[in-house]
Amino acid sequence: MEEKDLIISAKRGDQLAFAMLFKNNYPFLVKYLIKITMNPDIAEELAQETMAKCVEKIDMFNGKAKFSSWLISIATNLYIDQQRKSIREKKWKQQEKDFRRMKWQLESRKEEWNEALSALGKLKEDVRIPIILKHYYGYSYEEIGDMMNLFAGTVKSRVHNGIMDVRKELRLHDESKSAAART
Amino acid sequence: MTNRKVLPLEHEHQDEKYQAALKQLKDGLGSLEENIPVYTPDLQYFEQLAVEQKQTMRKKLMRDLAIFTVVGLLVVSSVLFMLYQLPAAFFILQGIVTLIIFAYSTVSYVKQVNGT
Repeated sequence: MEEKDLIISAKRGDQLAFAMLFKNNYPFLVKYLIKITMNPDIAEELAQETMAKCVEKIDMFNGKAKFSSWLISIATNLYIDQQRKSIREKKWKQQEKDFRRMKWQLESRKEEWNEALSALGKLKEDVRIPIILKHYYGYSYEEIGDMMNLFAGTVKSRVHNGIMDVRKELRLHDESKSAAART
Repeated sequence: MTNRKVLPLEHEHQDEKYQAALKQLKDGLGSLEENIPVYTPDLQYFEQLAVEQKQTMRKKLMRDLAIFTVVGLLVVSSVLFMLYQLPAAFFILQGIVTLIIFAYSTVSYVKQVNGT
């Protein structure tokens, strides 16, 4: 069955169609959430919440965008709401912990930790998410704006300023590395 | 003239750094994509999730309907009580409500006109 047919069946209340849609899009959704949260456990929890929300809102899906794009726009808004509710201090400490864990997880697979990811993690979520959506997933500024309820121009400036911040952070890291090598 | 020659070079250099940062970002995100394993549950799990969510929605709808009915009954019974037992208070209340609605509509209209 094609995605369009599955969506029509899901709108009619077919649970199996929902299940097939979710199963097909689950890895994509979780991997996206891992990138924005840097925490596989939170990513799985959010994926579950996203799917629950999707069952609730399926009638509002107009089929213009791909189903996976609709899922990640729900997930993005859920994550932003969740972050707004949590206390800033607690949030920062949790993020630090998540990064250390992710770094360890990558290094245990003999993969080098990329400092750009640490720099990306230091950005606020409303800057980090557009960067990931634009430069990793290739969405246009307009599409990201629709997903996050922002103007395309706002998205563009957030992406640009965010990358400038990442660049600064990387330069600082390189400078401290070369200073350590000199001593 | 000299400035004109220097500026594009500097800009190019800046652009190179920007692109380098972007590349590092993409590489990092790519390594996350490839190296963090994701376990996809079986079809039954997702089906169960959809069923449970629908049940939760139905329960919520029933609860909301019950609250709406109770509140509606309370409002109607208190209005009827006022009409038969305290008619003066009933008409004063009707007048106040009409004034509030009129004032609210006027303020919203004025705001809309000023906003455009």
